[in-house]
Amino acid sequence: MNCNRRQFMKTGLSSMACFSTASTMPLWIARSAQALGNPLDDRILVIYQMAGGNDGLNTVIPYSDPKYLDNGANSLRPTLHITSGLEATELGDGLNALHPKLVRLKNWYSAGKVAIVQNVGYPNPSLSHFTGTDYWELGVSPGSTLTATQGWASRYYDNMCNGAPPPEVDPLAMMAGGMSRLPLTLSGSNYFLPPAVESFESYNIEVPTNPIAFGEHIRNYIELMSNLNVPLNSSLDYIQRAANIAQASVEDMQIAALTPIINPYPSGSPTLGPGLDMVSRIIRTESPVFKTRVFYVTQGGYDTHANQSDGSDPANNGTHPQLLDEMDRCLDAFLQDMADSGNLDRVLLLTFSEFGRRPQENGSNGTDHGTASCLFAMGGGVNGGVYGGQPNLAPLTGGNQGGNLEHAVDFRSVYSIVLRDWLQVDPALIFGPDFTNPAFNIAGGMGGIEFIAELPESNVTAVSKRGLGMAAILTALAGGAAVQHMMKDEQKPKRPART
Amino acid sequence: MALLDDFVGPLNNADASHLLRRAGFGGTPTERAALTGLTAAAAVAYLVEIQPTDPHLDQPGTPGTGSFGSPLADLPDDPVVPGSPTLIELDHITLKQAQYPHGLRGHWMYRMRYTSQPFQEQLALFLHDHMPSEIEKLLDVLPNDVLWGNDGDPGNLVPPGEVQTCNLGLAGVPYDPYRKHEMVTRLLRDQNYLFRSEGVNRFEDLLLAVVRDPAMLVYLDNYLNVAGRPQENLARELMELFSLGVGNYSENDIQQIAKCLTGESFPNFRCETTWDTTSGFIPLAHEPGGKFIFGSTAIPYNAAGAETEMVIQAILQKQSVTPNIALPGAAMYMAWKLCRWFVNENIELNPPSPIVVELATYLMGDDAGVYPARRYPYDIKAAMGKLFRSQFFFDSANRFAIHKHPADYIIGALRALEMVELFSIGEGLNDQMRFMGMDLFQPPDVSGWHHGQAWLSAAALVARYNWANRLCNVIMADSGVALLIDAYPVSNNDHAGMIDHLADRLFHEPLSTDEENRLLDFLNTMPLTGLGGNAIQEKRRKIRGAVHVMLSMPRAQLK
Repeated sequence: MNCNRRQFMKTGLSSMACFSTASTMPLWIARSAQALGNPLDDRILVIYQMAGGNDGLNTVIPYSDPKYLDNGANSLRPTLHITSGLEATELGDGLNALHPKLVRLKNWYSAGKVAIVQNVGYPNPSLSHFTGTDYWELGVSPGSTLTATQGWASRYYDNMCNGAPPPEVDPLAMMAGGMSRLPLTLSGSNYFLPPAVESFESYNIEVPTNPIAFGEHIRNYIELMSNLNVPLNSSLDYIQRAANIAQASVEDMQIAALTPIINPYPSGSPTLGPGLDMVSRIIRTESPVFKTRVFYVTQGGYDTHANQSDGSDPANNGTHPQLLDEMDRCLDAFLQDMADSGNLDRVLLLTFSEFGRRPQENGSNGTDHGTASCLFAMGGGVNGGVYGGQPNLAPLTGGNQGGNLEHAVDFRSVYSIVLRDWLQVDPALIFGPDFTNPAFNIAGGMGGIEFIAELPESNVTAVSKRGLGMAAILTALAGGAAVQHMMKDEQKPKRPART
Repeated sequence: MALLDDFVGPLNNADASHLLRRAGFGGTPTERAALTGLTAAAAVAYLVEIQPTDPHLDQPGTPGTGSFGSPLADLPDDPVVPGSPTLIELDHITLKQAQYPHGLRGHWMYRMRYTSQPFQEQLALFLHDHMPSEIEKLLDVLPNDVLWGNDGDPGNLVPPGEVQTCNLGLAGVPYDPYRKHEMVTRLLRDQNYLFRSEGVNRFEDLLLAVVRDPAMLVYLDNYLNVAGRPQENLARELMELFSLGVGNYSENDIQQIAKCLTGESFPNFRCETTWDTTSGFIPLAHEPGGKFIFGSTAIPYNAAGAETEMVIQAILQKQSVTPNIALPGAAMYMAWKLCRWFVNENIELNPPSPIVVELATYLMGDDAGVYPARRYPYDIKAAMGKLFRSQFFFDSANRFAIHKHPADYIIGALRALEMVELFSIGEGLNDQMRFMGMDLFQPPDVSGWHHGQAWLSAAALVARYNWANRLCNVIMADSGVALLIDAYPVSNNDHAGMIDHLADRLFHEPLSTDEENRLLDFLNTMPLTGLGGNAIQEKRRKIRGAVHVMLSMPRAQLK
């Protein structure tokens, strides 16, 4: 008998009999069995990585700043500045305009669905792609008390239960779309092992079909050999859990793949378009199985040391305008998908990039690695607008090594807003002792950037809106056992018991 | 030097297999038997004392006389029936020529599969991961009408280093859209062969060669790094990723070293008449004046490119900032990277695992009297020899302590099963490696691939399952290939014997009782419908099915 997850979900616990040869129950069944009855807060976070270091100054353009403009020897952007064609993307504050390629995003901004946070960074910034990306994905920085090897979104999931598997969380609680490598943001938990899925089409476990019974026999034993008695927390144990998630998610993705496309994503987008298309279809798939709450998509290419823009037409020619055009078309399709399907109010999309680029352009029609930059939050639940103040270009001197922007908003403050006001978990649980450390401006730095709107309270969020709200939610849903775990600080997550 | 002390006693089969999995891609039964019973020193010398070219694959031969496993020269240049190549001919012609990216990828996979010096290929892969260049970036950066050499004939590519006059305006040469792909492939192939021939020698020389490697100069934008317009990309990655690691240099060091590297370029890259075509270095593009790095090291102005050499010497001598470590930072960093790749993926640099300090200390020695002889500081061959024969390497805690990368997984299975595959075409290893997340010459970024558990993302794991399916149910289902299965010394109805034989080939260790019992269940309940009771066919189906399931086991993902 070919017992798969789909059949299990249809038939319920009784079909577990078909795994009678397994010495332990597959992990996903343990979770799904618990998941059947508990509706979850249905808010979704989509994290969008702009990999390579996006040039904030040519994304949210400070068109009135004399240091940005063509100003002879004092100009930081003598050839790369963009001043024409900004009428359609002017943000209305008399200071900034989006890059002309972001014209669709500007429409969403005008509709109040886009928040921009300027000057986001962290103390003692790294100008390394890899170290910088690690900081952002882990939610740490040089000098922080917290040391982490687990991504911040992964910690969010672990801290929802703080020691025990949250009964209402699906095995596919998190996933990365359009990429085959799992990002650090979602990595590091011992029990939430999100799948990274490049495309629905390639995501299928193939077995022989001649005869069909031979293939089904193999398929069953591929699963059975991933459910053996192995030492807890050994490498084999980890691989077994990864295998269980892979095997379960394959079947889920086949279902999501049947959900039709509403708004086409642009061709020629290698990872962002396919990723957002998958995310959209999973969100729009009507199935009680899907409880994926954190998604991750990526777009590479922002490391524009050379040919960032062509000085003859910096708004249109070069790598950066191409990337922003891709971004604009993909985000427009995604937001429209969400609006058309009635999901916009439960989706928040948050961008990040490991650093901004140096204000002073280099000699190759490009920019070198910099520091603070802007990011975007968008969806039905944001308070649209520009937060975080203007980039302060005044103290920067000319020349290629003329300096970098000082950050005004710590990126963990942005994360904390998302955690507190969107995902409704206490950010102190995620950032530990750093949360109240003024050096990182987290707990104290959130006042000016409250970009999440107050939404009508759902049945779940009515329990509590702040602080230990999740503990109360878990208490209500899981019978109180979790709350004791919740109250302990810094408790190391333990592996869940298998039942 | 406790950890690096020699492992004592002859290697048993498990020891020899461990060594082959790490130094190479896992042995064939014959290779494992050949090393069993040797001392660690003898077995390691056999693997590590390699020739710059492979005595088997690179021997001269006669085109068209060979097929799977033949020396490259014996593979065909043309199909037997002109214009109608068989699939295998097309695969072998493509990988032999290595003229385009897919051919180059197939070429390397063929080498990994059939080399007689597997350490050479595993080390080349380590170095490619350590300081890679990406095909796509080069294709993106180079102009479409690029010409290499002066005659415009794709068949007469001129190797780098030879003096050529650039004739972009050459009359009568038609635009060839594949020309750029050919050129880029050639650049990366040269870089790949650099790792193969020089990887075991003095790291300082290798680093210098990489900094001056045309593919790297394009990849990290150094052709744009010119006087008055410094470009930091190469300077930064040279220190952060290729030699020192974060923390051992400042942003000012990067800016200064970027200036030192101005003018390191590739003369035939673009046709600019002002470029000096007699070397890779362009004096006119070099930043004038002396530079200071690491606080106190002066790099005096040199108009002939010697600043680059001085910079690399200074980098390799820069003392580590790690507390209580009186060793160069690069020695620590390289010892760490080698240990992680070859011994245990959990070995740490900050704070350093003890083995890192020991190996870094050994790297800095130059006493020729000790075996393996350290010919000079940063002697990679000596360090790897020392590491592979150490007690630490053979410690049980370091067995199966690394997640296989895709090449380990694929090449290991092919070698263990003595099986064939297509390398450069169709659904062959080009596609499979990409599905598993290791597109050769196209790592995610300049830091190489992400290792350890990162290899087992759900999509990548599914790709491994699906390649196992292809191997067992496409390749092995071929009537010719099935003869290879028939040769396995197992009988049809001895299921336990069959499992033990395959487990020994694939895992080199006995199965757990749980695994053994469940695999026995698998064979005992195998549907044999449609085979008409034919014992040969039944044996083939059982072996194909068992290998398919065994390659999908968690255990198959570790080495």
